[in-house]
Amino acid sequence: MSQRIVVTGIGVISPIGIGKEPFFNGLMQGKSGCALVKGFDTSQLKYHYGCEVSAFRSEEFLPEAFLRYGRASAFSMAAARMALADAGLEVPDFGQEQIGISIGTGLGEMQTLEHCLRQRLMAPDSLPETAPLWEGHHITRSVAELFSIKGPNMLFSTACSAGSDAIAYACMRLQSGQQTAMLAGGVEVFSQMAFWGFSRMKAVADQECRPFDAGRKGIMIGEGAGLLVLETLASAIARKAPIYGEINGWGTSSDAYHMTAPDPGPDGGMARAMRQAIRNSGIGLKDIDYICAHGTGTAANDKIETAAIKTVFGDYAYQLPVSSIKSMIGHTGGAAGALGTIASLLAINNKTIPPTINYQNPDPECDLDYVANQMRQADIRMVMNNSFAFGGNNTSLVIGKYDGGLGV
Amino acid sequence: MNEQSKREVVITGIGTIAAPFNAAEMLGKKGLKYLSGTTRLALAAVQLAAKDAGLPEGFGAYSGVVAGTSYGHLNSCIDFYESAIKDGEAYVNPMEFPNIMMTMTAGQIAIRMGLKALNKTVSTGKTAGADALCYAKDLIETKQAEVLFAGAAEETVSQMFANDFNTGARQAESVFFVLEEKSHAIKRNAGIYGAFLGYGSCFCPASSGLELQASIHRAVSGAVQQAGRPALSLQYLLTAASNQQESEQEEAAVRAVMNQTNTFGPLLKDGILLPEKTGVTSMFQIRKGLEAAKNKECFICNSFASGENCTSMIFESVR
Repeated sequence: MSQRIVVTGIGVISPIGIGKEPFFNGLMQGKSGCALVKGFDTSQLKYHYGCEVSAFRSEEFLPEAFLRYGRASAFSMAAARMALADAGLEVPDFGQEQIGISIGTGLGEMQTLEHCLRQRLMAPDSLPETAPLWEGHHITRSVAELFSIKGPNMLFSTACSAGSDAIAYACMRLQSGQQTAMLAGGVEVFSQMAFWGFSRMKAVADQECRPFDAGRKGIMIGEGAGLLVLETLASAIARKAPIYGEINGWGTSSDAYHMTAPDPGPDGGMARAMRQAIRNSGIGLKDIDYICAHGTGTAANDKIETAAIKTVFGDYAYQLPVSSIKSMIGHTGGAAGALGTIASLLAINNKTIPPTINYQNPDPECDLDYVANQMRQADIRMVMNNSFAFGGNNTSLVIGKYDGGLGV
Repeated sequence: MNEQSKREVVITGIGTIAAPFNAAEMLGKKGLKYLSGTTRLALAAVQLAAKDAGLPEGFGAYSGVVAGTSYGHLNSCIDFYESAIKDGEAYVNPMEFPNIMMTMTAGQIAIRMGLKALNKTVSTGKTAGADALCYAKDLIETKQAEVLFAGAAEETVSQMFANDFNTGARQAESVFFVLEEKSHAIKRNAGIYGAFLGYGSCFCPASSGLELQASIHRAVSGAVQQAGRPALSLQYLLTAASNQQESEQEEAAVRAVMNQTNTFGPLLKDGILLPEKTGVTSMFQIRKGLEAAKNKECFICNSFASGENCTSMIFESVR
């Protein structure tokens, strides 16, 4: 039995703000979360800037027993707490078994693993206290334990599309009637290994991320978490929950092309994911009012994503606003799809499109409307949120306005 | 979202890899250097499964892969980190970097097999294989793919981390199934091992023993409900129990569901052959069930661990 899926709660941890209001205000103000990296020494590297969440304090969100958990778990638990509170959803009253968890991540508890590796390489016979906490699935486990959630507990490790994959999975569970609500989204934390790796790939920008700009140099590595309460419409109405919008559909594809480079072909994975999302949503191309782009700021992604949008939308692509919030929050990896979804929902509800900041010089190969540098007022009803990842993993979500009352 | 008509999912191929395993012999030497141990195991199993299923030329266009692994990136992370310490962080090998992400297992399989529908990796601990299979079933049912390779792979964990697991060092192993939409399989005259009728999945809190029994009950109930057969004859329970206490709770939970539904035949419980050690274990169990069951016999395969998921799957053998 097919169900309509709505979003009733939002939890955000981002480099430009913790909580939905600071996040949204930051996006609309074109605030950059980029700064010199503080988490570790970058002096031996060519790059020194990133988008860290420096304001996060675990103790503000978590009971003492949970403070020893890794940063990805802490981010997830804190974002889950915000989302559940926002949705007005008390787990015991709602039903512990009715709610599931699906979270996506690229590198999981990588900071904790790095800590373990440092200790073990220095003292091979010692067992650090953090031993079991480096496991990736500890992220979803910790959220389940903190909130006594007993539905399915899924961790997706699909790199930069993981957050969107987790949301798509949640939609499947809800549509099939197996769950009534899902906590879904993504998380990524700043890690040395990611910074070293992306730096050596020369995929990192110097001081600012400039998606779709002719002078773009690469990504700005970021961290954060975005979790949403997804719920069947019937459930949301029954408990008079605030409704941010609907997840109208999703599409996914595989490039089968290259481990790190996107498929540049006319029928590449990006275009197929977008087409499938539209088909799955049962809408027309012109129903999409805005694209929250993957827009990483790398030469390859932005050029190929632009071409894919033109392939899918034809001439209508030139009328579509397309922007990249990564210009402000950096590339938050497994959290990116979830944070893009939240940005899209807030854009719909506030009738404003977030800008692409740091945009200075047009690139002839990136010739769409990128909402350069200033947010824009617009009555947007339907958004496509793109997430494309290493391994040729592509997922697009269609997010729509909810018109049935109970809006936020 | 569009209304989805119910599609049935069947198993048309199986590929199994266990140590000793000669990757170069099976996969060829080209590009092998940059495949992690887990990816090598998974890719080899997928190749065997594809051959077993007799998939026609061009199958990649409508096929994908869902891989379950929980430690698939660990040895690559250790190597990458050690190289940074040894050579300097500015000199790590960028070709080695992608392997610290678990997504590379499914990604590499997709590239090498030309799988265009999707490639996904799930990481849910000891139930990773079972959860990958269930996720693949959902994806086929919702028309995201016609054919999916689904299963799990784990490489032998480095000695540096072996003591983190109470079951000791893990063995390198991999099992992948070919899951296929039933009418698609029939149309191409594929051999069918069995039908994947239903599954249930829930979190199993680590707090007390009784939680395990309750979790198994929930998962089995969900599987029975989804299987949707009014007169289901359940002949085998392929257990995930790793000790007597777990075994008793598992059996009590399954019998409780049977009594409630009053639809099952006598239950023959498999012995504790493969204590739940990795996400691959339940994959071996399913293979065993498909081999042992007679035509139209159903069996239930559980996969669970305290503090992780509890996933229960029901299959019907086809001969």
